Amino acid sequence: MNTIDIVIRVLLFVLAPVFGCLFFGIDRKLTARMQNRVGPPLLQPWYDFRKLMGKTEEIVNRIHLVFAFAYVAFVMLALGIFLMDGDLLIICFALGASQVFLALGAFSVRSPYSHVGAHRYLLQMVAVEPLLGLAAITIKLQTGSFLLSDIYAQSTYPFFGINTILLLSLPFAFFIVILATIVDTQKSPFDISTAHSEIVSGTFVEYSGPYLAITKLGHWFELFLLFGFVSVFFNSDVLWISIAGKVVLDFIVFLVILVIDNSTARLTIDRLVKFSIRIGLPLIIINIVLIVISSMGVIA
Amino acid sequence: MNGTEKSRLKSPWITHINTGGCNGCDIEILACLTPKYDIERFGILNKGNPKHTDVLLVTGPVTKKYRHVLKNLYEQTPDPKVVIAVGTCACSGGVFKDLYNVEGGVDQVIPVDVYIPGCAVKPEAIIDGVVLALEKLKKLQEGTWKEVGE
Repeated sequence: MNTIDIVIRVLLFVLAPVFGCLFFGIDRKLTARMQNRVGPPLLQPWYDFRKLMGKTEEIVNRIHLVFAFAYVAFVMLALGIFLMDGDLLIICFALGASQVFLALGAFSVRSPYSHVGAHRYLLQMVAVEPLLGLAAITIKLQTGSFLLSDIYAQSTYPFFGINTILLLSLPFAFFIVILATIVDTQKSPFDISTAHSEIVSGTFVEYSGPYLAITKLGHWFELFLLFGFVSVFFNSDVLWISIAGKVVLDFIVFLVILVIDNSTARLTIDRLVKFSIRIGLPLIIINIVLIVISSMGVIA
Repeated sequence: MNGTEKSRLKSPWITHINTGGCNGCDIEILACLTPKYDIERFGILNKGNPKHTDVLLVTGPVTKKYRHVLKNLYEQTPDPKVVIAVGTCACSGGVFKDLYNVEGGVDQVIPVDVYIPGCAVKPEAIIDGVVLALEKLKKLQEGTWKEVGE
């Protein structure tokens, strides 16, 4: 890794919240257009953030804030590992830890909305995090390593120099990663733990002013990380094809998530758990079986 | 005007509170969120949570039972905040004024910044009221605000 490489990675880390902010801006604008509305300006999430930073601090208790900061810190840690081409499994664990802190923070206050949100959040993690871990394991089975640096180096697929091997051989794992992205970004039909019209905003209900802004910052980092995870599925020897492919893939996934968000209603939490057990788990097992069979040479 | 003050004008999150009214004004507030009026284009979001709120839209006459709830909600809202009395009942008590179980208008309990009369209020008037409240906030931030009679 040379100096320019490191500078680019640090820049990406610093710019991650900017991308996250823009994502939510575009999201709100496109959502409004899909509902035949004009919608807020593109930089609306940034205005919200600045406004929240300027509000007076109202603290419920200190441990509540410690957990909010721990959430952001662990998301940043996971993103740091991702950008330094670290271990996929460790990234999943760090992301999981950050979410545990968010749930603990919600449990540390007395609001029943917060508690309902936290219970749902934990169930949602139980439903999705193991699948995300299994998706990482299928990537390991396919490429022989959890390390992103090794995964990126595995570009031997002779399709115009594009290593689409992950996307083509792991379609179900890719589906699971999209599912995890929908759940973690709190998009319909799985916006269960922060269900706005139902439990106000669940886990975030007692955060106010600057501390709500901090959790939003964490959310932006998390979003960048999840789209980074999606982009792992497209690689190439040629640098510009690799970058263009990753951006296009992320954009397509973004649009798909947006359409799903706008065309579905919220499900109940047990429906999510059932979905992950009945559909998610079998799909990922099929994917693992396919990899094992193809590696034995039964199918060319 | 710095970035934070500018952002305040661009992102007013609202919570609407019914203090014992007939629900007519609440329906008009919800009508503002529909594609026809689309208040989200001003950055307005209906939060329903005092801790995330900048603008309290209060409807209905304040009943004696609701007095402490309204006060509590007002105190839970972090500063800077704006209170808008929506509808004739919230402005003055309306037809319920001087009733044995009614305190009167919202201003009997918490300070009110903008009054929007009407029974029920038109969605256009509500949007107008929120814009007026933001103008007041802007003037307060610039230090050019003058109370009536000053």
